[in-house]
Amino acid sequence: MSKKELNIDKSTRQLIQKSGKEEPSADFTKNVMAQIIKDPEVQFNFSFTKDEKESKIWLLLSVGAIFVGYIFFFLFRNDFNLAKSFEHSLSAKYLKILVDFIEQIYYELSLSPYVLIGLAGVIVLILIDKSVVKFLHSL
Amino acid sequence: MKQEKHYIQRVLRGDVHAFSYLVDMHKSMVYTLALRMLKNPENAEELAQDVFVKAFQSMEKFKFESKFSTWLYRITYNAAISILRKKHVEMADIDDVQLPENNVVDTFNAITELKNYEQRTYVKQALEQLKDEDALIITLFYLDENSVEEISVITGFTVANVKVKLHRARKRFYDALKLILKDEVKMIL
Repeated sequence: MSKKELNIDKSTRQLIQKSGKEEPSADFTKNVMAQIIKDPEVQFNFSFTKDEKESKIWLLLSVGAIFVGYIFFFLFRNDFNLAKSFEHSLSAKYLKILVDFIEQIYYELSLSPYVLIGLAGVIVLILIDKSVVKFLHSL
Repeated sequence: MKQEKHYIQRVLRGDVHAFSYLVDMHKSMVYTLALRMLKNPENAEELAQDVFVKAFQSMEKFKFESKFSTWLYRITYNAAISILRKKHVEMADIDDVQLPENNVVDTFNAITELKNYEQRTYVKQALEQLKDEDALIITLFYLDENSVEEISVITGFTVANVKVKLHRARKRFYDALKLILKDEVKMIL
């Protein structure tokens, strides 16, 4: 491009940019979104998808948190006394420590009402999640 | 741009409300392009809305190979062309334009003598008088600062063709402007 051409380009750009962009009506975005949400064809393509990577991270974090929480709970019950905590396990030595520990977990899980409350909470959350998804689809 | 990508990814994951951000971001330019081509505010508004609905429906086809705006403008261009073809609007050849380069400079000088609001009014009038394709190319290149290559992607013309069309569209624009300004130009020149 010649120098003259470049100047004309620059001047024309200045001139046309003075005219600015046109604005649609104030309800434009609202109308578009209403069409998108109400259009059955759009709803067909619309799906709630879960971020697999994110949900795996949350799953691992939850499992880790439950495990650490349980260890703390186990120690707390024995006044943070490690010797007392593993009293029985230490008597049986080495492998028995692990077996006792697992037995203890099983015992806690079987009898604690908190576990049942936790499970009930999970079921309620799943039901709420399903209801919300169903409600959004019905919009 | 990074934020735009974030919202596109949210839409692709199923967050329908994230799409409103994209609408807000691009509605002015999509509407401007529609108006430049259809020359009617009601039709332009309707077309612009259809463009966004169509864009939402086809979101999974957007592969980040171009700018989101380029992809959106291509949908706008195709939708507008489709309407114009249905209405049998004549897509005339523009080879007849032979405005000398000096006239471009004279017209530019004449309009810069005017006040800002007058300039805006006359420039808009000149753009309204351009044929749809000329108005689109001028708007994309000068107003939204798309490159010739991007305009080529939007319109489907070759890069060389876009350059020729742009050059001719610009001459037509100044020609239209000169006609609008004829009294003012005569006074100044």
